[in-house]
Amino acid sequence: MKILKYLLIINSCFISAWLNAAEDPFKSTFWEYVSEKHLEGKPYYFDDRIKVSGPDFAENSAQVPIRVDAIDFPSEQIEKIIVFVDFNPISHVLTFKPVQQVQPRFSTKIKLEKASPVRAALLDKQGNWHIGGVFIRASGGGCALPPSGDQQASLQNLLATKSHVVPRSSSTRIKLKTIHPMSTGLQAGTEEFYVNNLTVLNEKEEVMAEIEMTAAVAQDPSFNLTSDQNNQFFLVELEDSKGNKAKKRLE
Amino acid sequence: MTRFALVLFSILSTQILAAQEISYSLKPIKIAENTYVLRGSDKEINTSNGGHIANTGFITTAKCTVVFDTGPSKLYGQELLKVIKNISSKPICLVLNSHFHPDHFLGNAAFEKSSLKALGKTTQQIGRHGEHFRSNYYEALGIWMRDTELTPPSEITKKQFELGGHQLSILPFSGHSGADLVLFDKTTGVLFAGDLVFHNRAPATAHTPGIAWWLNDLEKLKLLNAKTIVPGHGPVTQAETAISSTSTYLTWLDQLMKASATEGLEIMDIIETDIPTHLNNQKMIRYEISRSAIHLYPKYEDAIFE
Ligand SMILES: [Zn+2]
Repeated sequence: MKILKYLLIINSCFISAWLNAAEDPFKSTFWEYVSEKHLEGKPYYFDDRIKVSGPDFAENSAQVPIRVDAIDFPSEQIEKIIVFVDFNPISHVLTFKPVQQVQPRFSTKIKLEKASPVRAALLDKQGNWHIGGVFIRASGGGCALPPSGDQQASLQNLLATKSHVVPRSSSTRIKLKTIHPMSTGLQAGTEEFYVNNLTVLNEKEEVMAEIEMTAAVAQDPSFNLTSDQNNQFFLVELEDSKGNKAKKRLE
Repeated sequence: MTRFALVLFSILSTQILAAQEISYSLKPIKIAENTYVLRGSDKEINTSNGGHIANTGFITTAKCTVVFDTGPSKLYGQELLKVIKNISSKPICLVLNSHFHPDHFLGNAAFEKSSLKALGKTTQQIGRHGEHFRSNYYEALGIWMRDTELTPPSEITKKQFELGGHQLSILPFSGHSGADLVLFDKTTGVLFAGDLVFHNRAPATAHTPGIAWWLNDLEKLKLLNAKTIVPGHGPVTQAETAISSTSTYLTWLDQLMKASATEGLEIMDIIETDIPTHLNNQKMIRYEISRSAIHLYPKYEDAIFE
């Protein structure tokens, strides 16, 4: 990894060629489909610096924790990171744009229709995608209960947001959870209804990160982010697909 | 091997597999007077163990036989019946289900329906989730599950009784699954603890009402002064050893989650946590930590949120 970074500084063209392993490491039958759908026809590379982690098995397929970590990627080179799931009916999960003072690293919970690769694709400023992923089995042992979640309950406190901010020596951990049903609309008699924009701002109301979501994010979306500043508080702005808005101080 | 030979070989081996009779090959272990245990595999359910991961057992009293848990499938129940018949000619008068998890009760399908008993809440939980479990098991185990119909127990009313020379008590707890029945045989000092006790096998916490609750139950189990414990999973041993194996793990997990929530850590941090060396003897620990992180950790996080 050290060598890789060093080479990157010397010659980024050479590195691009070096990273060119165009074959899907998961050999997914949907790769052609999802890559065409999400990668905007731009060149892509499977790149170890984009780390996606999750449990081996989902256990609760309505709330599957994942972490995306691109901390090894030069942060000034990052345009955005998208997360998509090959075998989900809504394959695009979210788009994360780190603007400033935030590390290219986050975790959240997603929905998983069935066992599938879960991928993060980072678009660099030159227009190349760098892709990492993890394969998550949909069910665990036989003791797993069907995914539950009372969406009605989430309607009661729509967009209410709880947070936990933990200052560290040179960074701050931000954890937030916002109440929303995140309905996919895929079940009969339901309509699609989800948070589509979540923006994190610093004390001066400057945008740090923008997250665009789909209903493939789990009910009551939660995010863990890391600021590389030592702020006392942050702000979050939320907007859902029906235009409901909320702003909340995170502390 | 040429490709042709390889194909031929794989066709042949599939046929051999299909023709072979599957069997749990149960070997009863005598652990006390009239008391036997069938040890489950300390692995995930899979097509080699046929889902026999939980321990089951029985007491052959002079009057009739009491069975504790029925295993994962009808086939298992049938083989368990054969094992019992080989040891005692007395009828089976009582078949207990310790709790609602499928590795403990799906074998009910092989037993006389009127003999099947469990705690009231367990019967409700089986009513609610039994079909889902059964279909999970069919999917994971295939042929092992053939003819396994959902056969729910009814609520047990008699809790303390003498049976063919054995003083038996049935005690209700809740720490592992919300309704956990244990069977204590005062005569032999054997405690069938169900999944309240895991020995050298990491406890499954997905349906616990709370670790504090579970630890409290373990304290009460200690007061029974049992000699031997048949844990739900893991080897049979002295009561103290088995209880402390469970409480050591649960205490560690509880502290880990509390501390992690305070520090603002995330579920994946729990899943990837370093396992302390004193817990290295706990089988399936990685697997269970992952499950606990997913099911339990959000409750610890919720407790911290502003
Ligand atoms: Zn259990």
